[in-house]
Amino acid sequence: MSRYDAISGLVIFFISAAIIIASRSYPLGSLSQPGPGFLPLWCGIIMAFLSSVTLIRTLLANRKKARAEERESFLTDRWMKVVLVLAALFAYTFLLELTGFLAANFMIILFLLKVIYSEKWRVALLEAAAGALCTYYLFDVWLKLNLPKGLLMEFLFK
Amino acid sequence: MDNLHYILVGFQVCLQPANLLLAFVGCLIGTLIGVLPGLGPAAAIALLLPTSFSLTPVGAIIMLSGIYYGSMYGGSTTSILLNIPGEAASVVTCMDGYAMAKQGRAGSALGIAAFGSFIAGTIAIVLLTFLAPPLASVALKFGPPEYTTLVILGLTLLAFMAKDSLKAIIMGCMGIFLSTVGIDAISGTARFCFDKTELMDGIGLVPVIMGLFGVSEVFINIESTMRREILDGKIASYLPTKRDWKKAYKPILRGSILGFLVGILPGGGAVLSSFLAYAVEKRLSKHPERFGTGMIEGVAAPEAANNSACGAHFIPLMSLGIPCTAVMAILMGAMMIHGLSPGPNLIHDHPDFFWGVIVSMYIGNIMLLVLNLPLIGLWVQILKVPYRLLFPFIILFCLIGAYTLNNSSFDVLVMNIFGIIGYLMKKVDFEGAPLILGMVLGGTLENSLRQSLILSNGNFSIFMTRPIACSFLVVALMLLVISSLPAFRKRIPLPTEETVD
Repeated sequence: MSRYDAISGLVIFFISAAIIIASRSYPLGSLSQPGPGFLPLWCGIIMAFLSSVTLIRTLLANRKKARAEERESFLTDRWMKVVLVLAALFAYTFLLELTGFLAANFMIILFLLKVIYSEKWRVALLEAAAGALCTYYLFDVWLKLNLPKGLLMEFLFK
Repeated sequence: MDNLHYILVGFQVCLQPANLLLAFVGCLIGTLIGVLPGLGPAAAIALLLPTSFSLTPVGAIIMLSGIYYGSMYGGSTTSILLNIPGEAASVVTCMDGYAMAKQGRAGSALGIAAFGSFIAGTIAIVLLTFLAPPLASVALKFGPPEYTTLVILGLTLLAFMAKDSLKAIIMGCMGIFLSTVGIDAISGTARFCFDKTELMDGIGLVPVIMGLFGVSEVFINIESTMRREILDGKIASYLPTKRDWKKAYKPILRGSILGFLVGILPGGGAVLSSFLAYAVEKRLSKHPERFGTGMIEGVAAPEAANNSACGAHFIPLMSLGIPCTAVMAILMGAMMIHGLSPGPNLIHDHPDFFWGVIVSMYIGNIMLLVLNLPLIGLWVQILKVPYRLLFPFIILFCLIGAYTLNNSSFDVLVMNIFGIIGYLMKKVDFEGAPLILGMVLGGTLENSLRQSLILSNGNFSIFMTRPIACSFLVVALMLLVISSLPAFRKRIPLPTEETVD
């Protein structure tokens, strides 16, 4: 029981409220002929109920005991790295079809090695190049997975 | 005996070179996963799901199952040599295993772990062979009300086993809700699609699994820095001595049976069984105070237990279509994607699949015994590769895997989103397994619930008047009551959390 429990309980409560509202826009049907909104609505109701119970439980809990039980900080000092990796993941998602498989792989490996682990430029570039080429051969050429070539390549090799 | 004929069919299927190779690959990857801390069997299976699509259903499940029980073997290596559990079920092995290693008895420890795992695995598969088909034929009598209550029982059991049952039920409901996204099969309405065509087929199970277990695991690993002190020094011999065997054979047998019984229950996992086996051995021992200082029983029993629990997990999945842990849920997802509908009819409709997988487990166990002992040197070398060099590739494989599912960036987006959700969930002790279970079982639940209500004309008493359904509900209710009692608050985390200290 900590304040993170309370926050997560609140978040879940709001999500369940949204689910309940959204489910009502679909026909609920009757008990003998349940409609598409039936199950989602009940999921939302149960979640809302349970998350309120969690909230109440947290609020009623002994404050001192809760502090003692609280884990180490939610965010460690490396949290920025997590954000950066997440950004890299999203960037890759959007860039993959734009720049093509080979280029995108190279960029992400380079970024991850350089920014997250602060590798030396030489090692990072080498590994990125090797990695990109190996994965290209493995997935595109050998497994023939039909991965995007990127707009530039398509333009050049039309 | 009918079963004998089917076992031969199984051998026929399994001994095809392609399937043999896949079993080997699965076992190899599984051992590797078990050896490398930071990536668990759930994450690995999740990441390899897309690659399995080009395989036949049998081949895919053979490989993926191989990863699962292979990881149980591999996990013990790092526990004994480095005091780092390769995955959660090997935590207990650290205690006496590492102590033995420090005394120079690493070889015995590793040997007993491997042989114990092999014996336990074999026992489990034999029991599975004889128990699964009869269970399935009982389950064939199930109608919609029985399925509804069985799913509810399955989810409740998982919640019961969780560290925080309330949160687990919330996650289960969330999973069920997520399974409703898409076009409703019965009414044809598009639910929660927000006009996105990609959502009409539902939220992809595989990207969610990859995100929730694979990507989130990477996020967690980035934050921690693992120090590894590899115990240098020659490992004398891998064969346990006669004295070792004398001390260890009973714990192995006890551990196997215990692990099997615990594993067969939905929610009872390999982790729980290893802890229980250790506790039982300590209780039964003439020198309980020596546990933790290098008692071979403390290595043999948990290792046997976690392997036989692993085999037992397949029973509810194969005969009832109810997965009892996250890994089983993922395997069930894989089976569904390959066009097999798990349930009591599976054994009957696809005997070649069922028996092929069972027999491959026998063969897989043999392969693992051979793989583990001589190749330990290799595994230790691999451990020396720093995580920082491996991790870009893990991420890349996630991304490529998600993309190649449907050649769509949308799936990658789903994976990323669930990756961050999974990471946050891990931080606040919300477990991912109930969510996946909810997603996998949500469809079954909804269909059987609606059919039941149509059958009974809206009357909920149908769940009470039918004896099997009623008994499931009663057990579920009892579990809910027990789990809310304060005495049961502290419990062991679900067997999917690969937390490394």
